[in-house]
Amino acid sequence: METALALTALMKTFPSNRVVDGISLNVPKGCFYSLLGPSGCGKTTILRMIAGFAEPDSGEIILNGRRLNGLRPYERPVTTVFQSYALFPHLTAAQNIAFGLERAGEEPTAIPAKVSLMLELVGLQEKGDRFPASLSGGEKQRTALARALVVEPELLLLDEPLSALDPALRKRVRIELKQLQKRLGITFLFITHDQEEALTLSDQIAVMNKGKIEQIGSPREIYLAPATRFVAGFLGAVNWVDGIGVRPESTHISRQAPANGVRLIEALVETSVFLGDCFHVQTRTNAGVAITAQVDHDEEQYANGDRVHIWWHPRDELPVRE
Amino acid sequence: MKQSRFLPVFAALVYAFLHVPLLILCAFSFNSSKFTIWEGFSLEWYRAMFNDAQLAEATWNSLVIALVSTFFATIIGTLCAYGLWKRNSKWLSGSLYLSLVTPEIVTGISLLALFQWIFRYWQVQLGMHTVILAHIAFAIAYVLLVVMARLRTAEPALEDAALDLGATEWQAFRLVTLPILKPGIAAAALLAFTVSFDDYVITSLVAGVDSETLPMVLYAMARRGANPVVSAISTVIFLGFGALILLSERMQKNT
Amino acid sequence: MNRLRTLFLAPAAGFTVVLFLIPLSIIIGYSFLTRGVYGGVAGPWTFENYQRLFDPLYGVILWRSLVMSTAATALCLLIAFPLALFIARADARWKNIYLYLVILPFWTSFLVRTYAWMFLLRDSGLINSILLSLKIVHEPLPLLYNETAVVVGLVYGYLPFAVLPLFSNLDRLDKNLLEAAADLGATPWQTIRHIVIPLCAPGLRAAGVLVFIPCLGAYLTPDLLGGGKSIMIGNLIQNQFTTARDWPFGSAISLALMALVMILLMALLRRDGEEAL
Repeated sequence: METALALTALMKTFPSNRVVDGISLNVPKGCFYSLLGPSGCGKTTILRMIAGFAEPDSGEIILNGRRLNGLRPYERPVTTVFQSYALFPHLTAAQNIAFGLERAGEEPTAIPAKVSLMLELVGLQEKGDRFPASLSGGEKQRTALARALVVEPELLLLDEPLSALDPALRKRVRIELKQLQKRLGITFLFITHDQEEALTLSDQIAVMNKGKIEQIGSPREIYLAPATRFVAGFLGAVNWVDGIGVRPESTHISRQAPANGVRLIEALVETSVFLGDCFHVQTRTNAGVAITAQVDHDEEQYANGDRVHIWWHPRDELPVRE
Repeated sequence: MKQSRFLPVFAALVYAFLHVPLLILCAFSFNSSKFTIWEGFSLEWYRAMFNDAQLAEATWNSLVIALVSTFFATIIGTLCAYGLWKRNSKWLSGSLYLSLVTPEIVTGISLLALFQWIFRYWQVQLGMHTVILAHIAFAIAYVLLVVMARLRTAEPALEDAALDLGATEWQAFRLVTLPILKPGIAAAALLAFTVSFDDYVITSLVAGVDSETLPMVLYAMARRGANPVVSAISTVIFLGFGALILLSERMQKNT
Repeated sequence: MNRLRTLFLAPAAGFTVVLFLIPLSIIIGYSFLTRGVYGGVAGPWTFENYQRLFDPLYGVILWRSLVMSTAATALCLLIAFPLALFIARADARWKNIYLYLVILPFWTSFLVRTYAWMFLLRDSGLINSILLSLKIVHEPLPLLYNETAVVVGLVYGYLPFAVLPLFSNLDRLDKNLLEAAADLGATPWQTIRHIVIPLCAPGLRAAGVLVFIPCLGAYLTPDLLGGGKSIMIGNLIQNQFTTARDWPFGSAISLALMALVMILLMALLRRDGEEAL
């Protein structure tokens, strides 16, 4: 598969710390690629370096064979959807979208058609004449997206574009975003700290921590076969028992010891937490280790103080050791 | 919160303190007698005011000076505010803010010293041009203050977005920041105008014989003693400035 | 980017250097020179001008300026605080109007406002006319041309400078704090004394400095309202550059005044940081 964006050994140091510490990755063409990591891990800095708002101390940024280092933002075929959307308040939605086309020297007569097309694509046909102040959060986000896409960039950067939306809206927009990307075939580089978002949307994920990459892989690989303890813990809950990691959904409870071929521990039920679609039962082994097991509604329920057996299949164990 | 009676009453008294002296002055400008006993309504003093040639020339000078210096100070000050907003220059912003708190008398005498020094080598005199230069110099800081305040509430990401979409730095300023800044620039211009029009201390020191301004004439008249024409002039100025401020508020509201 | 920025800053930098910094430097230089025979300046270089500042003749004027400025500042703060509190507590739709009413007189001509007080206070002024016609006094009271008149004029002139920073500080006060105080049993007066005033100490300091500095350098107010007996530093400086034609001495006084102003500002900035302004 062709590589769209290649980052090689990127470094960026601010006075007190190495914000970006030797980052190398390849984003394939047409891929929905996510940079996932906690706040302060350096992902925003990487985005700004690709867009041209900051220069790396060392390392290369190559887009479709062209070296971007040193180029001003307006010289790069890269556009950004900002976290705050950054819509121009004195221009209508349509004028916002037309902005990039005008700067590129597009034929003035051809612009309105392209803008209309884009408005339709993001579902804002009737809202072109509205000013940002009278658009809802979701509509602003779509306008920002349309504005960045209409100039047909070689790479689209998205800086946590969904974080300002409320949860219900976020889920809906996620699906639309994924469909839009597939339809247009434009390479997306998406940064987020929300692991659910990354898992749902991405073709590939790079998990970052403290300026370094911990693991790169598909959502499945990252979740089921985390390479480091950090990745395991960031993507979901983990039970660590004697150095072995098992996720709660793979951890079972029963009163009697089950059949052979499974790992087994005795434990005492401490409390149950209702999560809506299941229970997480928190237990403690005789050795004092805390283990959380997932119990679905159609299974037997347990009360505090019950003595139970905790078990799991060895194949469900995470490959990484504590 | 329980509100006592004290605050509203106190506030009313303070507003009275602030406004009554001016209102009284305005009222008595219509007094037919030149004494402070009301003797009847009259426009006599306004007539005298309009017929005063010296006054007319001084007012004209004040207007010219104010308009010219406002024009330049607004442009220079706005560009300066933008430049400093992008990246501060401690010596420049420090000097400009220092000029704001420097007592006018000190600014005035220092400019006088400068001009006298220059005039030793160049055959020039004090006149309209020296006043205008002085006014531009001190008005820049006022414009900077107002426009800076506006810029601080602006979203820096907007210019980033413009650059991202293909605009150069100049285009980002012209097409994105400047339009958004318009109300602030207008307010700054208004401030510069009123400060320039009203200035006495600095102007009196650097004006030449031919460049008398309205405040200078007013000052001389006030010094000479009770003069109802001064009341008439004051009323007109008061109403004029009041109208300008209303204008300024209107413009600020159209954010 | 930097080229554009340099271009934008150049005109302002030019004006600042040529029409502010250089004149100031000239004045600094003059303060160390001697009075020329025909006025102006001449050699030799000397510290004499600064030594003269300590002469009791001028010390009186300096002292008087400090006292009057302090009095005016104190009065401004006393008047401005309740007013600012009133406006901060008002309904949102009235707030702007109340503020506007404070700013309005300030933006009209300073000369006009000072003259308004002359109109009221002079022997033939309105107050005396009323008192005389009501037979409360038989001779006009000498209300004008004294230090009190100057202080009144200063308070009148600079009150808005005190109201605005106080208002801004009080307005930003977290209303929840006041409710918490009431919840814990404090009366309104106790809340003001123990919560509001300490929390708006920065505003009070800013207001104090913002009033004190212009009062110290005042010229028009003492000139018109004070007569010859209550001149302040500003008048003294002007006098040296015109009638007395002693530019070096005038320069020295100016610099002393500037030094005082800058010390006060540094103290405020150090204490409260840049947001104070």
